[in-house]
Amino acid sequence: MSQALVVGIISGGIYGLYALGIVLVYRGSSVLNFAQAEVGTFALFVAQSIIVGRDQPYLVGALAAIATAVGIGIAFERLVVWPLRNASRLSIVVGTIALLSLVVTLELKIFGTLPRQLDAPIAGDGFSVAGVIVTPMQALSVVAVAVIALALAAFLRYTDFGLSVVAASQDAEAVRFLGIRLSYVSIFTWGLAAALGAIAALLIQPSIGVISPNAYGPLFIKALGAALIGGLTSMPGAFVGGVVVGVAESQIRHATLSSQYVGIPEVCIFAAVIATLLLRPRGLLGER
Amino acid sequence: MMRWLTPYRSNILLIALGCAVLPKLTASAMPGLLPGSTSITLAIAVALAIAGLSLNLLLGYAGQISLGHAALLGVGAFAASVVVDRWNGPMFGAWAFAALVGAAVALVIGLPALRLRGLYLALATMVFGLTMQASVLRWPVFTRGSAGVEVPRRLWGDRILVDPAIFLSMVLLMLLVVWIVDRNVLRTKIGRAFRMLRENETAAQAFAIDVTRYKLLAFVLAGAIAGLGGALYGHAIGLVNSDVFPLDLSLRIVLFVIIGGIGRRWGVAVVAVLLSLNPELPSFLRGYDLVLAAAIVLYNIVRLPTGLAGLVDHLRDLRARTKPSDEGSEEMPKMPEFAAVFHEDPSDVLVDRRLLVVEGASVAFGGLRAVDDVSLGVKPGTVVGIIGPNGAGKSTLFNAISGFVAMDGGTVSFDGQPLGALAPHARAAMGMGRTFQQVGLARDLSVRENMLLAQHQHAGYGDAAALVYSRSVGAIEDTLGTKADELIAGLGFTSFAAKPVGQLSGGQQRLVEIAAVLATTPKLLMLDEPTAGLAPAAAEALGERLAALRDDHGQSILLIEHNVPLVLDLCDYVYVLNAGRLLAEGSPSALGRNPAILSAYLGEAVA
Repeated sequence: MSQALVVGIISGGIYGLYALGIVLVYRGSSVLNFAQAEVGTFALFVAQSIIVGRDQPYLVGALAAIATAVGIGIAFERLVVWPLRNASRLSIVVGTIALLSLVVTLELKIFGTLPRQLDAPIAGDGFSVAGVIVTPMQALSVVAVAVIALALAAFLRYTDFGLSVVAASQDAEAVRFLGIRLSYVSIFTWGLAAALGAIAALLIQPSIGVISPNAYGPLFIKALGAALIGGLTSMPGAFVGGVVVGVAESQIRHATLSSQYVGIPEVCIFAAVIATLLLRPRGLLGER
Repeated sequence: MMRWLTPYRSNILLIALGCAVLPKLTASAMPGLLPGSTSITLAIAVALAIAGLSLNLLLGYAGQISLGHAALLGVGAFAASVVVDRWNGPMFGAWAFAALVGAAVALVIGLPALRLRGLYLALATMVFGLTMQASVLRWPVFTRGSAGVEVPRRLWGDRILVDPAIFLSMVLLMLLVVWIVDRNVLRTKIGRAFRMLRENETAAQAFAIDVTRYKLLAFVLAGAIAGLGGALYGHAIGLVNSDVFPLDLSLRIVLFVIIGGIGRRWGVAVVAVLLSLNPELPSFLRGYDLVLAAAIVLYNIVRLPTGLAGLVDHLRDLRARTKPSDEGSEEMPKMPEFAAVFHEDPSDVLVDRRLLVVEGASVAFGGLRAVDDVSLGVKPGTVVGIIGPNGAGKSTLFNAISGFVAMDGGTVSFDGQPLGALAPHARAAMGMGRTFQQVGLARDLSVRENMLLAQHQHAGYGDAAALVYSRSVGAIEDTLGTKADELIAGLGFTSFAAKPVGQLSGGQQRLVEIAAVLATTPKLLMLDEPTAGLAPAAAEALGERLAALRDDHGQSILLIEHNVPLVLDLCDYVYVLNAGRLLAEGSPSALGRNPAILSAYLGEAVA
């Protein structure tokens, strides 16, 4: 396996986490959440300011970041999604756009426009696996993505609450039969999606380097691309889509490394997203 | 007084006034008006107001969202930089070039919009904006490999630098130009077509409006205005790079439109300027204007969907409600006089041939053959009826004839010409006028606006003439307006000519729709259940009117109807459709002698 391929698979797993947040919310509330990636970026700023600004351990900052994201997700759910549960879906979408703009503005106002630095939680030299160099951070991210994916899959499949999260949008009656309140399911969905965004942002940060609002905007393109490829409703599909996007990105980047035209991968993913929207709006793996 | 001040004259007057007054105003009074603000911060705010008007045209009039507007501004700013800085060209030339490039790029974004609606279009445009910022605008073609490019305020070549106050007056003048173009769009067929495609794309085509063309035109116009706004923004800032046009600028522009009121020019411009002057806000609010704005949007999504301008309307309505109302009668006025609509001599129609010939028409939805090998014809000057039980395929046949549904087999020819796969709007332009079961009007537009809309193809001026509202446009619009008033008077609807169609009763809407379709001067009038929703007496009166249209004006009519007595009374020839197939055809008297058919398939007691 080539180095670029491995890098692509690793970052693809992180895109999968972002995409999973989009899929969860889309299944639960039939809404595409425009703010999915940006809430994670905001959380990342929080982590940076605690770890670097307050000189706290990385773990404290990371947990605070996840807690912040969950707080934003739940607050949005309580203040906008739940009151509008019987309104047109479009008004909630406009709401997520407003949330996106709110979060971007807060980032600029609270944390400023200057890029910020944050060291990776684990440093050290890379080790070689089958001829490919893997950094400790990349290894950590693979483990984290795998653990989260498996834990979530088990939770959603083997617990009543998890099943009701999966079923909520299709069969609200069945969820009530299980004695689970729909409002809890909705809170959980939005909170979990926000947490996934924060974790994904923390994991991708060392490979992006500096933290600035502009550097993280394109992540939404990749997350959306992954979710669309996966079919918008399929959770395993989100990871498949993430890996497809990640590998395509790293291969194209590798091939165009010497080009003066930056961001060719983003342009390609953009074209792919538009093509998918036009030709298969339910996504490549989604049911028609 | 109002007659003298025609739109044409008021446009010229406004521009002249702007040229004369603005430079003096900005040089002396303006900076003093708003303490702390400089000419440049004001110019930035006005440039963003122009961007707001651009999105307002796209979203508010044509109903197409863009979450990537900042990228269009960026394109405009870079285009201006190329002209002024790289080619040493004139500043005004740079603005024209920026508008051109903006229009071209917007055309490209418009292409997916032909297939994508609402949410998906929002996604596509947002991804477009992000991509432009993340990569395309960083390419050396634009940035020349440096951190950014200069957009100097130089009038010509490397000579005259424009004073900030004079620059502000130029920007204000451009706002005035955009404002006038925007106003011209709204009061000509372009704006009516835009709003019709926002309201009801299907019915727009029945009024001979080419939906594809007007959607792209909306993107092109919005792109040109955004390109201009971006150029002005670039000149005001002086140095631009791709990070000057991030996602949050796109969102900011969306907020201008949502908070100002979707489709409300004044509200959008005022909100855009106020929000963009944010350093001049009181210190405790500084920088948090957008947070506040976003919060307001979140709070108001449901409560106040029309924004600030809507609030003003709402207050006006409240005041108006205290006055005694002279209307509000729900009862049907006297049966309309449709005859007022004829522009042309009915003898235009080929008399010796059948006007409409359908041969072997078939339409299948999946495995279901909704229309199966149906042939029929309409002779000029006759009324032909199609009857049959629900689900017989009558409306599908109508849709196939008028081009809204593709046929799997068979041919349609109209007025001697085979139609092939001709688009619905082109069929309408040939003289096929039709109504819909779900009334095909713009519900949010007034009765009068709908009547103007229906005369789309009689508005024989070009788009360019419409944008500047030339004299001939004024003359044609006057004629259309007179015609619309005649039509409305004929219907007896003058007292609610200004009412949105959606507020009329179902029966009234149907009459307005028929009158509107007649305003297109169709060679063939196709009516889909015209008496649905009418009281029996009104239905009978409508039948008489339709007969009069045929007898006095030679109007050919193809009619789907459930009211069998009316059909037998009115029609010259009747087709009976069942389960997609033709069951019987003949003159009403011949069919009337065959009660078995009628009772078996229509379940009606026929006397």
